[in-house]
Amino acid sequence: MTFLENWAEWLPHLLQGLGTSLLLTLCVAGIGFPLGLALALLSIAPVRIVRVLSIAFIEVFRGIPLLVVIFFAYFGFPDIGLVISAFATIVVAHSLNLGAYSSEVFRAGILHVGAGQREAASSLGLTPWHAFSRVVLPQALRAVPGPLMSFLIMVFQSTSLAFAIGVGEMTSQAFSIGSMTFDYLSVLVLAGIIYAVLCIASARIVARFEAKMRA
Amino acid sequence: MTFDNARILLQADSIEKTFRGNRVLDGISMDVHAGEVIALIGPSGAGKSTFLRCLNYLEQPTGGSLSLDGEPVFADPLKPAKSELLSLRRRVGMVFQTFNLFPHLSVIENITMAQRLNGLRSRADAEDYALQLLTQVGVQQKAKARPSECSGGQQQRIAIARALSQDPELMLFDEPTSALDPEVGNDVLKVMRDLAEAGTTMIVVTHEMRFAERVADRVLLLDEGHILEEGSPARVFRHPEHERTSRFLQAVLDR
Amino acid sequence: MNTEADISTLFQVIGTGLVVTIVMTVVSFCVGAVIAVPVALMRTSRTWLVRAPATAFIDVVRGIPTLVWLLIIFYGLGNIVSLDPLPAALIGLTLISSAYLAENFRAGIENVHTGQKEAAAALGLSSAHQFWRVIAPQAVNIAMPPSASYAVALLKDTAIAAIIGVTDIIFFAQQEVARGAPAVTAFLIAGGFYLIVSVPLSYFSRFVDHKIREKVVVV
Repeated sequence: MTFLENWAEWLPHLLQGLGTSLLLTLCVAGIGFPLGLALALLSIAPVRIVRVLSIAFIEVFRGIPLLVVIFFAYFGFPDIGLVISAFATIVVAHSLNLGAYSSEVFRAGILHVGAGQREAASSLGLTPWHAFSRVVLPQALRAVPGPLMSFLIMVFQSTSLAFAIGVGEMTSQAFSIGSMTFDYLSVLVLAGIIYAVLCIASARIVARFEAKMRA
Repeated sequence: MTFDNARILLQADSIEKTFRGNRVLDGISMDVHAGEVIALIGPSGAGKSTFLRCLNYLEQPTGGSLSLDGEPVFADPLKPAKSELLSLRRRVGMVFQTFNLFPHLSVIENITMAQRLNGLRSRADAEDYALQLLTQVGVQQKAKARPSECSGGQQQRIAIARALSQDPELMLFDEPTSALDPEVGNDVLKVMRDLAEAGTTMIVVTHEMRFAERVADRVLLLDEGHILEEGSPARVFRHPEHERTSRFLQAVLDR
Repeated sequence: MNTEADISTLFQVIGTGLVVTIVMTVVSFCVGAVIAVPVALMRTSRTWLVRAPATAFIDVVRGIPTLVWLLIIFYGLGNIVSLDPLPAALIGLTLISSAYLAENFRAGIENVHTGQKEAAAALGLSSAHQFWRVIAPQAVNIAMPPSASYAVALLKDTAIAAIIGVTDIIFFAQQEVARGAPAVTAFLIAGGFYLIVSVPLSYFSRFVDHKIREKVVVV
């Protein structure tokens, strides 16, 4: 039963790492989602150059691996005189990534609100800004919580990449326990179970939420 | 035309269907003679479509039994064997309200596929027969097209040809024109009238009262899961026995 | 300071990883797709006993981050069977892609309009014919666009294999940086190489999506 004893000993370390993972997720959501909404608005802006630039930004960040962004920020920023912590590096890199991804959801939400709504708003004499902010945007945002929650699960999973630059989240904790005990398998499996339980449970909640939204 | 001496092709005996404690069909019995055309009418929710779908077991009845040509279709109607199901469905053709053509196949493939898979005809014979059927329903020019390239009226006529390709002894029509504009629906009704005149045995769920009156040999009015009124079109439409029937007919004619 | 010569060497060195990146993507996608078929079939079974293991497989595999899978296979199983980084990465990525693709295929199967199955049944087709001749071809069409865009996600996921030492694009970039190459340039080049593959791939997936929308009836 050394297996179970070890697990009991490891669990506090892993849970401490989990706290960091969740904190990272929270920070990334706090910056990434507003960024996504901003990018979505820019990508349908009336000025062509703004549209082109924001779409290029989105395409680039959707096209390169998150790990490249992380390494770029971690090793590259100091070269250009920008020194930030490893934690902040992860938050920045993830937020750019999440911003690019979630912008598509926000954009789809905005475009989904029909022309009829826009016309109805302007026929009431609302300014374009009021028509957008009071009529279109509230309807657009009603469609996004489901997909955004799924993104959150993805972000939580990919905070494991912080391992690559030594932020002490759950995967790093598991790996360092492994390197001390040489029993990588047990501790990594334990970490895997924690990830899986959290992800499966939240995916269920998201699915139930989406079903309720549709009903 | 009377069918008193004709052979009974299909016999439905106290067909029942319960959905989640909700009794949709309350034991419906019906004899269908060979060559007879039966129109099933009634208010929506009366169970017409459910009853029709019980006749080829797309819906499995929760009670009652079916016989074809005097032989029970199932040894145990509540536990249909696969072979019994296949043989029932090969003898009974069905046309759906929403056509349900296979979008990944061309029009002619839609009609040849089941003939070949069910071992009815060789590829060449199946194609010849399919073209013949398409000509019969007036859509031969679309043989090579995809269903999505055909109008709704054409799709429904193709669906009729597809069902006929199995050489069914009985054809079921589930509101075949409800999804169509009236002008296009008439093309479909014309094909159905031709079939009826050629002696095809047909059961048609429909809201087209004029079609029921002119083409059907017998009209069954379903209401709340049972047969409220039954008889020749002239009798049901001109001299209904029940107050509810007159009210239903009045409501339909007012529309 | 980096001269032109330095940059062209960087290009060459990092470019040698491109093949490994592409091989990882193609192999894990194709093998994953083959495994995904029986998993999706089990997942859509009406029998709970058949469905449950497939559901568990899909949920658990997708519930664990890619990096953790690769660490489990490379370091964790290292005590039992010692694998080189590339085979370990291929196993892990294939496992993950099979679960994601199985989920796409399941959605494909379930989103074929119910009228299609009824029409096939009404024609007296056997259940096997109903599935393989009517449902499956349409399910493939429905599953194609999400699967094509999954290929892009998979391509980017292969970068994680560099952490266990697979010599792909990002591995070489990192190695050159460790040897003193400028990090900004090296990782920009690495990013560029990924874009060369991922941008055409994602345009292709949108093209497929567009083509197929014209062809299928989806509920």
